[in-house]
Amino acid sequence: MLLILVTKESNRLMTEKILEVDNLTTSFDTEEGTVRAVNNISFSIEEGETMGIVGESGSGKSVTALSVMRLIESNGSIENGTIHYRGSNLLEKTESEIQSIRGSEISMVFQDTLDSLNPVYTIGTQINRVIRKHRDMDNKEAREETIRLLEQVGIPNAEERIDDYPHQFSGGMRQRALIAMAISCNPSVLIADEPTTALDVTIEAQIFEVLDKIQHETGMSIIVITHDLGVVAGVCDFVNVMYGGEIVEKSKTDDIFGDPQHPYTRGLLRSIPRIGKEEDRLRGIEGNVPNPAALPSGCTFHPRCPHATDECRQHDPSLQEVKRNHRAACIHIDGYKSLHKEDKEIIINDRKKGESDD
Amino acid sequence: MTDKELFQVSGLKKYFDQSQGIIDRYLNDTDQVKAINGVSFAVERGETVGVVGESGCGKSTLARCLINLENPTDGEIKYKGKKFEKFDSGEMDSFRKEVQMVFQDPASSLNRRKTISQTIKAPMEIHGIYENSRDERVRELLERVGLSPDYANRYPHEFSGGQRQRVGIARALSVDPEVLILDEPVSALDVSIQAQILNLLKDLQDDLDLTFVVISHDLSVIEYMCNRVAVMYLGEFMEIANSDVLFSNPQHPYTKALLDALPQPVPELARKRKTLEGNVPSPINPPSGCVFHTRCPLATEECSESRNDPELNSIDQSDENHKVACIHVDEVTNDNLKVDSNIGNDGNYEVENFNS
Ligand SMILES: Nc1ncnc2c1ncn2[C@@H]1O[C@H](COP(=O)(O)OP(=O)(O)OP(=O)(O)O)[C@@H](O)[C@H]1O
Ligand SMILES: Nc1ncnc2c1ncn2[C@@H]1O[C@H](COP(=O)(O)OP(=O)(O)O)[C@@H](O)[C@H]1O
Ligand code: SF4
Ligand code: SF4
Ligand SMILES: [Mg+2]
Ligand SMILES: [Mg+2]
Repeated sequence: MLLILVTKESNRLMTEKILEVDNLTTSFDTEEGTVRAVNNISFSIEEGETMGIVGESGSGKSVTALSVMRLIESNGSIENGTIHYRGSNLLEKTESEIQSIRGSEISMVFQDTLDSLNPVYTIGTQINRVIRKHRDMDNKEAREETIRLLEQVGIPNAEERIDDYPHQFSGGMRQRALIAMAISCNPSVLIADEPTTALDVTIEAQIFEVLDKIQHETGMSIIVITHDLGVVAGVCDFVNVMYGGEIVEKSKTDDIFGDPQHPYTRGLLRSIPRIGKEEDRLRGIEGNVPNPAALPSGCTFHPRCPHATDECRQHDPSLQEVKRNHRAACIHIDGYKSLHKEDKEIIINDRKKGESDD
Repeated sequence: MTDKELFQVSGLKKYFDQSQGIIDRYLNDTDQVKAINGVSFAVERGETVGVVGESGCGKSTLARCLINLENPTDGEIKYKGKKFEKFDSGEMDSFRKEVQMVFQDPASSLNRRKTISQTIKAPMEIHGIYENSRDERVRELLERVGLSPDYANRYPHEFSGGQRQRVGIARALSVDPEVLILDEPVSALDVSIQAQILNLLKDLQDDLDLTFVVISHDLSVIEYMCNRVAVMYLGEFMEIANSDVLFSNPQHPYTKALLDALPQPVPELARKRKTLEGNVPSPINPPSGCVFHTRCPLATEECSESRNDPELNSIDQSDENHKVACIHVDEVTNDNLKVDSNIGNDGNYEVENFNS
């Protein structure tokens, strides 16, 4: 039994990571001083996997994505860390090397804002341009490829709609067009930063269905960045929870939701009203999301944490394994394990109550 | 009409003219956006009525009609038994005081150049109340919404989104309203802040005997807040019911589709999320017959015939609050569209029971 586990583990270690981010720190010079938007984070993703980065606004999700793409604005810089793509460090590449990777090997879809598509060119022209930049195709071939891509992302009558301008598309269709553009060069990694935040739930479900289909067809890896825990629960294999520029918890999706360890993750989950639950109050999290220009000392979460002690105010906890393949950054995590047991008892009692009520 | 009824809305329609461009205007060829297309319901004292639906379905327009900011194209709205048009100026004044609105975007609904004290005082000045105790009232209101009274002289940019929404709520409360119309009160806020604001609203309702109309695209917010819920699609109500009934026993195919598409923070359920095909059609040219027929998995030819535009009808004699607009509603009760009855009840995921 033990042997089998060990072999499995070593097999796992041998599979190639497509993208490996280690100790990434990115900061910006601002009027308020230096903002450390991403602070010493690490994650990796294998072929065909879907990884989630979830957190509230300002937690550093977008800066993480932009760092990987090497698209940090000029007032910012990657202070520390490595970003290995298929074994080579992207941070050591020249701008022209990066350009040939960006969009073709690793590509990104942003939230559909009015400026993500140029209003004066047709949808087709814009996708066509991306294809011809990275792939050896003439105009006619690229046009056929564009139609195929639009069909792949579920645009009906693609051969007619290709000549539409962005304003003639609905929000959901524009997001599909952006995805078509992002996958036009068969990237190995697709980073989707809040891809459905502006969309209705029914359209959001369609977009993730499309991404899922493409992933099955091409085996690409997807990084989904979102503030929406429901989205993460539905589409990700594993999840990183970010707070104040740090990853505070990471694990498989089922463990994050079924057995959350970090007080912040638990608070987040409690903040969401559940359908079918009689609730008088939401027992969420007190206080506000911290200002990244003035992050609290020690554990960034301490001003809002119900368990904070003096130690928490002084020492910044790093991620440690709390369970197999489940890490959390909390000084008192052992204390929680016992607390946790009490919580479990409450659940069991509740369940018994539920059974006797039926 | 009972004494309890504050609002009574019947056959409400609101169309907007929308000219496509200069040529259209020249040809006098304007399209009409049918933002609200025949809506009837009542709001009783002390209840929380929710209106849920996708973007553009007419929720905000309905809110604006309720506070008399829009002139209905057709139909009528009565407040305390009297139509808006019949109000004399005194009655209009008290209506403007009794019914207050809280907006979605706390950043843009506050004046950047006014201190929050000035902002909160403005409605009291308009209505000439609390003349000698406005500063005290501001401090009291700030405390009531969970802000330090010391913040009174700060400007909106010095606050976070959640704090600004608290200021917006304090402003609405300043004139002792009876009704708050809340248009997407938490959708611009972070998850952890949403919960704080929702709790605050519930406390205020209990303490001040307020009546709420909550407008939101978020089903879980609506379920948490409301006693009664109307589901809106393309300017019409598809279903209206008591909240517990609507969420445990939805009858309209669209209500079910919305519930199926909801991404719940429970992996087992979120992975089973079902997709409703197609897009919301244009409100300029809504589909004939049942407006949902272009996306409805149960649609038959009958549904698209204009003479068959289904009205909201009671489906159960024992529950006159539950009304559904669907000609095939009898068939919907089968399993063909069944919403997972486990939603939120999976014992493994009762995270809300954790104490930490
Ligand atoms: N002043 C106006 N002129 C023209 N069309 C309008 C006007 N106000 C609203 N509409 C249209 O009426 C329809 C309903 O709009 P409304 O703002 O009520 O939607 P909503 O349900 O609140 O949407 P959201 O969830 O996006 O806020 C939309 O098609 C909108 O474009
Ligand atoms: N170009 C920039 N200049 C200064 N600060 C920035 C810049 N980009 C991001 N930041 C700051 O970095 C922090 C993290 O931002 P971001 O990654 O965009 O958060 P989110 O998790 O919401 O995507 C925020 O405080 C943000 O204001
Ligand atoms: S380290 Fe301390 S403050 Fe931080 S999450 Fe753990 S208990 Fe809370
Ligand atoms: S009337 Fe027809 S199209 Fe409309 S909801 Fe019922 S079954 Fe669907
Ligand atoms: Mg972002
Ligand atoms: Mg609106």
